[in-house]
Amino acid sequence: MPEETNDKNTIRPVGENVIVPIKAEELVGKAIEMKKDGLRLSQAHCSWVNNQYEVSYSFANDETLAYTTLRICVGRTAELSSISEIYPYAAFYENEMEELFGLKIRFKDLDYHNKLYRIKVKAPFLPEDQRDVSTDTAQEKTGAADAPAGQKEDAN
Amino acid sequence: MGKRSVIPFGPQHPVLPEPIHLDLVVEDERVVEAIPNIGFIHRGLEGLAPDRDFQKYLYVVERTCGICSFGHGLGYVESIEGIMNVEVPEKARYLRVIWAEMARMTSHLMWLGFTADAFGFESLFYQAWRIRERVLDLMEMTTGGRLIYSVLKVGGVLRDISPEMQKKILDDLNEIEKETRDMTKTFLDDYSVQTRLKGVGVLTKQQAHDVGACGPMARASGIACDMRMRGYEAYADLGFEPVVSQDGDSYARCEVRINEIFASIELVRRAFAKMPKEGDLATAFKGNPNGEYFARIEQPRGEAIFYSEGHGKPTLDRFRLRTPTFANLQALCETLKGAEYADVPILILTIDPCISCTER
Repeated sequence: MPEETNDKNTIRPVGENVIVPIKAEELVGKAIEMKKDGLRLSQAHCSWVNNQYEVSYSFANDETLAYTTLRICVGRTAELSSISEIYPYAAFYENEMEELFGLKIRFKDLDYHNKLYRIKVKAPFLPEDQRDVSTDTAQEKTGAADAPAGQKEDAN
Repeated sequence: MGKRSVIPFGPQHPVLPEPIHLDLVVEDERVVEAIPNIGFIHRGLEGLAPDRDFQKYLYVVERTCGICSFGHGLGYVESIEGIMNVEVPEKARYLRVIWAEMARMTSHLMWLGFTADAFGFESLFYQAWRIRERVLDLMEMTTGGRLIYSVLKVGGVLRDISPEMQKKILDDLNEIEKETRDMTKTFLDDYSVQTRLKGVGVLTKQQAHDVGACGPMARASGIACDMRMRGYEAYADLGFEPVVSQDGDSYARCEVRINEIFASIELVRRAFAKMPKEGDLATAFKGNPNGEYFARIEQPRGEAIFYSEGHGKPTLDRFRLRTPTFANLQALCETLKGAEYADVPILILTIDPCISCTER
């Protein structure tokens, strides 16, 4: 169960675009809704603010130019589910979030195993006191970290 | 079914201005799949945001890339102005449009030169860059720089364009337009160019949408989406229409970029015609950014997203830059599927890659 540290249920308009807070387990369902509505995944990023991750997935409507961002706030050891099954190119953004911030994202369609940017320091965009927090799962400890970069995940 | 092999492309290659690596899964001279690998010039620029005063961080953002420098600065100041509700003076908005469109012209002319060089069409490469030099001279005259301009600030701009400079720009643009039309007509009408580009790397409208393509890559496939349609800065007053093609192949992508050069020349003329003769260049403001804002602008390569988040300190807590080439990487991999191995260099150039922007 992904860890959550905040409970925001209000829509906060930011300029012309809207940020909608959601829970981590709602992400995949909301992404499916966005896909059905014909929206394009414009960007996804992660921030470390107030001792928690703020994860943002932004969707753009190319016809109306509307812009909607889904915002998920989770703790340091939380794990999110990837939306790359719905938006294949989301894998690039999710690999970036994982490598720069150490945010765990499961079931990515294309996994670079923290070698997208080939950075020596683990989670370099996190404060130093947060970088050593262990989030390794048992699966990772068996050697997935040694897999070549850009490894496509098996369908199974 | 033929034997499949994996051929590495890059990071060093004669057609690549910047390093990117592609693992090409090839079967009998046809590419079956392409897996990109980046990370050769990642500098962690976003990580510098919490360490720099938000006004000084502009100089870091501008230096993300030399080709898209003005656009990066523009998007960044817009994101800060969005948080702090700073109203930019009318004259400054027109000046920003003029410089943005001239920067777009330099970018597209540079891309045209690289593409021609990839064909072995070296004389057109020289001509495109010779014409580009004239635009760079105009940028240097007005901003003091050829690639990195540093003419923006939060709330406005740092410099004005005098009436004498304006006349010189408009006179030179008339000549530049004529020379560019002659040159691009030669390029687009050439039999060899058409043979190499038409029907190659087709990205249908649905495919372009499914892979999240943006900018000329998407507009060449019929998606009429251009961030300038949002009307930011002075674009709402200039009657802007996006340049679109329906064919979705490499030739269409070249056509769109070439026609955008002429659209930019026209936008500069309109901007000068409508720009107030007098007016403030910047709005004074106090305090630090406290909030968050997504700014979206149209870079030469497509939609660029600038996200800033601050909490009342002189430094930002987060700055995020999503560049168009990062979004178009998947579109590139899609166009490579089924393409001939010999067409790979051209297909990469038709997305107009900027890897400095991609990796930041």
